[in-house]
Amino acid sequence: MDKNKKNKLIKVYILAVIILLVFFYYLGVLVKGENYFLSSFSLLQNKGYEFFTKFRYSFISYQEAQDLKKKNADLKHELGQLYYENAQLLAYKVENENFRSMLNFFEEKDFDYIVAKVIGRDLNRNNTLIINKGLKDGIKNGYAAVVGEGMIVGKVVECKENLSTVLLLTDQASQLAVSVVFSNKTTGLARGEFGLSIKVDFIPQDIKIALEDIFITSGLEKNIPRGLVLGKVNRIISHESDLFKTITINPFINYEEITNLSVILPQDYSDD
Amino acid sequence: MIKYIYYLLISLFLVFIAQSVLSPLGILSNLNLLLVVLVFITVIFGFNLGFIFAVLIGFLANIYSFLPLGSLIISYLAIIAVINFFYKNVFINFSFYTILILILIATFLNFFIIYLLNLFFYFLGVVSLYVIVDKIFLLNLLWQFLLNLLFITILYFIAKFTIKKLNLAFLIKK
Repeated sequence: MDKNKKNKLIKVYILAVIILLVFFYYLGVLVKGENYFLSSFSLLQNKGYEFFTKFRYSFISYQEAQDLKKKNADLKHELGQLYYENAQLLAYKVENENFRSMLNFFEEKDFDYIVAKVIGRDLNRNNTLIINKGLKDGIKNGYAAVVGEGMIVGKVVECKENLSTVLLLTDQASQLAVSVVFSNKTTGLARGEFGLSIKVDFIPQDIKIALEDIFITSGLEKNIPRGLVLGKVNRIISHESDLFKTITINPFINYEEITNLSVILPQDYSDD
Repeated sequence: MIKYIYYLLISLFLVFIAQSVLSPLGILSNLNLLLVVLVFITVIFGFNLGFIFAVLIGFLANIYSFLPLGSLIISYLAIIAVINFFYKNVFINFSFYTILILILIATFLNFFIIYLLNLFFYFLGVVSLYVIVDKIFLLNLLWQFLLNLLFITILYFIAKFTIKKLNLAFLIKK
């Protein structure tokens, strides 16, 4: 009987402690403790996550290695073409800047960014990444998460003081206003498809899109600048009787291999 | 007191493995390690220990979850309470197959409770994400059932051959 009483008392005690902790958490009393815990633990988590991500991809078969060699050669050729296109675009940019200064347009805002490490994924939701930066670093919901030189991979959907959750573009709940690279209007709405690719709906039939066209963010959304690259078109679904067509985009990078990313901070985030 | 520190360290280690080690490993990320360990502890070592681990693991895992703090604690406590009820009142002839059925029940309960909690908080406006039950989600859930069964089998065999005093069996009464 005594043992039962003691067990009950321990359970009540533990529950009371947890309720108090939850209460203090919402009051903000535990923030310093949480900061300390997360800052010391997140480095270990990131190393663990990086190691096992590389471990997973270290077993590449011979056939895959051959495919990679061929793909590498194709990419080198494509890179050469892109260098040429880039040079052309730079020339247009200079011309554009001259026109703008002549007409006294406002300059586009510059965007700052913060580098974050991926420490894991949400256990109850696929297609998410948890990063070790949060509200105290200036990150807020709706900010773009990018890798490399401006390839958008997702949006911040949940922010805590020291952590944020990024929802990848391949998730079905993810939505982003996009345009094809040669258009300055919003072309369609990008949504994830089964965690594997990105689908763009509501593209008017009169917009001419071809395979391998590059899609970028349109700049329609407040905190996401124009020009962040999503990927290339790999399928076009269009029927003459439909008002809109749908395309599927293949991202340039494998979202499963992301271990570090940057979050773009709009310049006037403090005014939000 | 020292044993509670051990429990806390074990819980931290389990959350680290689940969050940062298993999550990049493709199909293995569908294994619900925390749930399997909780069910195993509740059934093999008793409800009291299961209770303590449910609270500790729920608290630590909730720090990284998009659900409000406390949700996972409630979820895990509810699951182990149901599992303990089934174990004590329904599957009274304990065997290896009992634990397999219990983990299936726990996996289903976990999906159900998390889904309901997510919807509830989404409609309240507390969270901005909701779980979409589509083909891929159901496929991942199926993988979770299979991997949970596999992992608890491994745990059971390890416990059977290493902790003799538990006197674990396959079909005969415990």
